[in-house]
Amino acid sequence: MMGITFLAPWVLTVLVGLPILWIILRSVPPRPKTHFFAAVTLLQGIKDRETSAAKTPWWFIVLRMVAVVALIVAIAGPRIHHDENRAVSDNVLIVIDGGWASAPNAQMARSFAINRVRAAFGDGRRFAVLNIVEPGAIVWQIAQDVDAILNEWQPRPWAPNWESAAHVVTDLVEKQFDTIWLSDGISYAGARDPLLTNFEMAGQVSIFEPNANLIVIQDVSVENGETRVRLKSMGPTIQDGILRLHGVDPALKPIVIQDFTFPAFDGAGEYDVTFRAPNELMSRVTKFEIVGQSHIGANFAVADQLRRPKIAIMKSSAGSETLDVLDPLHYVETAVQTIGEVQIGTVPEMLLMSPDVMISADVVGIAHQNEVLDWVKSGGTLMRFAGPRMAAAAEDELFYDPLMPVKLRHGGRDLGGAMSWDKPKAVDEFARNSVFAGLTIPSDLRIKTQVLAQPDPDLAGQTLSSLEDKTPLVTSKTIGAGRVVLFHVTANAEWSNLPLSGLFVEMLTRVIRPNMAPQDIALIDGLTWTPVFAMDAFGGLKAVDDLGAVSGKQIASASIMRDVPIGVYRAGDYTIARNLGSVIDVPSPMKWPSTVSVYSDTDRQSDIDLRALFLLIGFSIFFVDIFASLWVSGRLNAATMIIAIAVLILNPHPSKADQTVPDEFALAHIITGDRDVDNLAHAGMIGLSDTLFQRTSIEPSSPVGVDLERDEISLYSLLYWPITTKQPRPSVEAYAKLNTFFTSGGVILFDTRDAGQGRTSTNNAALRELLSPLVIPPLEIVPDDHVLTRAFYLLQSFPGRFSNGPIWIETSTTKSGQSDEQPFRDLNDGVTPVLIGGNDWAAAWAVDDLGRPLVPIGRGFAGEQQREMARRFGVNLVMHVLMGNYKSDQVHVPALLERLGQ
Amino acid sequence: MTNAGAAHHDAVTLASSMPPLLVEARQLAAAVLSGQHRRRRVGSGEEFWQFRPFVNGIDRAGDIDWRRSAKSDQTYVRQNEWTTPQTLSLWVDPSASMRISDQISKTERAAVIALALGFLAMDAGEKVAEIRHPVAPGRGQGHLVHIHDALMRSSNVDYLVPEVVQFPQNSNCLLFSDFLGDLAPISRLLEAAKAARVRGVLVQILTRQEIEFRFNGASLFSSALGGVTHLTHQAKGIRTEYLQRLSARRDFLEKLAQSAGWGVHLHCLDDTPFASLLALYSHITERTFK
Repeated sequence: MMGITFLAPWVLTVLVGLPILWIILRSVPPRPKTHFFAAVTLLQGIKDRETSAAKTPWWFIVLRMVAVVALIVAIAGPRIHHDENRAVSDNVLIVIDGGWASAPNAQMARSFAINRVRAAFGDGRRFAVLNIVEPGAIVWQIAQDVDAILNEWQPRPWAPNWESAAHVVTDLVEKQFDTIWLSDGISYAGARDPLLTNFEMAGQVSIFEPNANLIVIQDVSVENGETRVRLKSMGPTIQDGILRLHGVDPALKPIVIQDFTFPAFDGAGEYDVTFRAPNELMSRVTKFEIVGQSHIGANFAVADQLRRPKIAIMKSSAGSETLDVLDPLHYVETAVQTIGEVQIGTVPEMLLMSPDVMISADVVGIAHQNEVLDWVKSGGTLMRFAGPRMAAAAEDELFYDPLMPVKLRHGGRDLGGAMSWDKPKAVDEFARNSVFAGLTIPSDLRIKTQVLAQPDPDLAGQTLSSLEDKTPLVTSKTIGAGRVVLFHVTANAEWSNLPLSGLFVEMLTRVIRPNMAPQDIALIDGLTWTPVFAMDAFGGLKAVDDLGAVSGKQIASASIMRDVPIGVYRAGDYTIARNLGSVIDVPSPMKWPSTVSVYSDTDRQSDIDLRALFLLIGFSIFFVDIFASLWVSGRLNAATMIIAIAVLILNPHPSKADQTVPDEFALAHIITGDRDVDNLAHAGMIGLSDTLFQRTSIEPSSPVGVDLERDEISLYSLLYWPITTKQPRPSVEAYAKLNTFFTSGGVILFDTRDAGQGRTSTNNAALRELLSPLVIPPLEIVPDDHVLTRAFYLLQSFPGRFSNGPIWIETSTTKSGQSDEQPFRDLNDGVTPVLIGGNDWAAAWAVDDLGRPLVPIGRGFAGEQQREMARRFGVNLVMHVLMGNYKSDQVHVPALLERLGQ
Repeated sequence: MTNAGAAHHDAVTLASSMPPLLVEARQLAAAVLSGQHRRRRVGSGEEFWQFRPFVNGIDRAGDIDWRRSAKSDQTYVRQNEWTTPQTLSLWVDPSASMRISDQISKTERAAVIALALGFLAMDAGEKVAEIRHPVAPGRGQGHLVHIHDALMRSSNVDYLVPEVVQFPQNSNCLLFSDFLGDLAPISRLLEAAKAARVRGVLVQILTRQEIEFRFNGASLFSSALGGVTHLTHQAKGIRTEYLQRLSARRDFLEKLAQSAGWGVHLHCLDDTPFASLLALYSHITERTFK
């Protein structure tokens, strides 16, 4: 069933007044146009011969009436709607899950509810909203109010609060109402059932159930340089997904670091997305996101897990002149470069930067032992390598060294040396519980020398790796939160070929970052954590500072509430991320009983709002009316009307029409896009125009700014082009225009405005860049006898704001002999097509509105003299451009000689 | 600041205080002069008159003409002819109707032409006066600035009724107006001029629309201040009648002028002022300099 209803039917009563409007419109003729006309005295007493226009034509009134009716109807809010969803009950409860899983389909759910609420505008039904994520008291309101509430509703980044919602609903037991439930598609392990039972008892239940296929990032881990992102999907996906890495650039600005695509899933379950990305990039990642999911589950914040560890290497003793390859630290340094940020320095320096790992090679007594010990206890890893010195010092100095994992025997042992019976030993396979478990040992790996540990009951437990005769190769001891690891061989290739093997790097990696992702649970529990970043419902990380600290236990718990948001927490130096995937199990899709009607779309056959249509009709008629009334009052003839309409409708190049084309000679400057430069150039052109007007028979009209891309330049004889680095490079068409301009007699004065800065100036470079595509003839500095020096005034120099810069012009023909191939020679009556200089002439010419100089030149009288010379140069230039070589004519020689006093 | 700098500064201030109309008028005048052959200056008041013997106590020693005195024993004083220079009297209708303008108003145009003639007259050694306010005859650019100000002074009446004024003796008179108001006072003015033996030209400035009346459609015609209005529903329909009235008025004006020995000149505001200036200039010089 279909029908037209009005939002505000009472507005239609206004239509009763239409006949009155008819009478008014009929008797008021179109307003005459007022002319101020001095000769009105002569018109006194003249009678109109025809008075037909006194009444408005009937079609004109009809036109206006239709427009008014259309507008009144539009205001009344007509709409066509389908009544299929009309509910039985007079009360409707709108239930919204509203939690994190609602976010992806929030807009659709909102439209679904709003369509139904708006259909009830004016029919007296009452609505109430129950938002399960933050349930409040149920308030029954009229449809308009609920419409506003729904418009403002936003999903929250928390889980729905089923217990409180159940409390609220118990108050409704006696009432009869229909229910519209905007579900987020998750089952919540049966938490919905008590509510649903209540609602079904009260009336009809319609469910909006989106085709939600939520994908949750459960875990991110990095192993052997490969990043593995574990995803859990609620169901199959249709197309390939995109995993996006958000992060910061080196300047800490947020950027998207990289996107990875992964193939579509063919069903519910866990999927791994693995990729390799450079360590440098991974260390800057702040968040993983599955594009298009927009809920907190599909976003995975990263705190410190991917951070590259800071590795400090203790400086080897100064002054040692060993070769690089013999340097005890050379191999270590090279190896750890790939693992983290490496710093080399003395112990105090290194402690200041609070490294994650410190490495020392063949150092007997570590300086600042107590401080280093404190650092280890607070979680640092100290990695030590043995060496000749350590072997010699064993038992005496090292016996009480707290920074040694095991006690050493004096002297070490040689295997396979000249004084030894033994052969060099191979390395035993790594124990399964060892940190090195799973690494492959190269078959040619041999240990020639090692330091030996004193036998000790704990020795086996402290050994991470051993030789084939079970003597330890790597030992470790936990001290506080940190540990000390000792390699019983040197860090260079002297005692073994271990540092030469790939295994060495892998072993160091395992030691430096034994386990990245899962952190010490006990540690987290014991601290108080403050949220620093919280995710909004759509997965965006926002800095927060108004949330209270929470305990470690709450962070690990599965509850996602307002006080314990998903996000990044900090306690002291530690930062951890709390992600949805790591605290809750993967949601399973909701299966609704068959007793309720489930809609999965926004109900396309909803109401059609006719307001826009009527408004459009009304205003189009008024638009026609504008022309009609102009026509009736005689202010518009048919031709202009057609043109006006055509212009309004077509208007093909609105910007093309606004070039003011001078009808007389005018100076012009190129618009560079730099406002200041352009304004000054314009003022300069005005000043030069004034000078020409006052002193010569050249009377230019107002100067014109020329846009190379848009305007026609062939209309001008002289273009002034101030060079600025900000000017964008002209297009190919513009260059073609310029080349035509040159060859057809135009002149351009290039002004780098920086005379004296010479080749180093940036404007100079910009000029060279600009000119490269132009056909520029060979240039020379203006010769003394050039016609430019005597075109109007006799000049020796051509100053502007600066006075020392030379001007370059086309090499004169007389000097270089007969013209050949060059397009410019003789073509333009000897006028040079380009002048290139840097004296900033526009500044010297520039005047303000009252004709006063705009820019100070030099000092006092000398400065004014220079300005005068600049003006004279301008006059000479324009004369030269317009008159050509007229003044080079031999006829003038006697007069010139006389004036030159020769 | 140096002396030269200060002088330059003064010059710039002076130039910027010169009304733009005056500048325009000067350029216009320069255009006329360059188109004519320069005449010998009629040195009014500089013409040699006579030598007279020096009388001690009456004549100043500086007046002695030593060249003449050297020819004889007596000392002579050179006396110049005492002549009164001609005066160009200017009058621009200050009515509000003269200030209706799209681009340039009739008042401005009248002032430009009047001042250009003023420049030309000064160039020929004559004096220039304004007779409405009045500005006494005088010379020089500064004087013209005063005249300019007097000419541009406006009144708050749609159509001003000119009063009979005192014409300077020996003067040529130019009356600028659109002559669309009452013509009776003009006629009285001309009678007074005739009595004072003052000749001149009535310069009527009309716009193209006023001459051709190309209006169309429903129109409300209004004087500048709205004092007089006329409403028509079809402006096209009253065109013929308007044009008849206009030409009748112009004929009447012509007759008035002839009876006083004056001329009439019509200037269309939409044309350049140059042609009118040339015509008026030759009209005046015919009588003055022959």
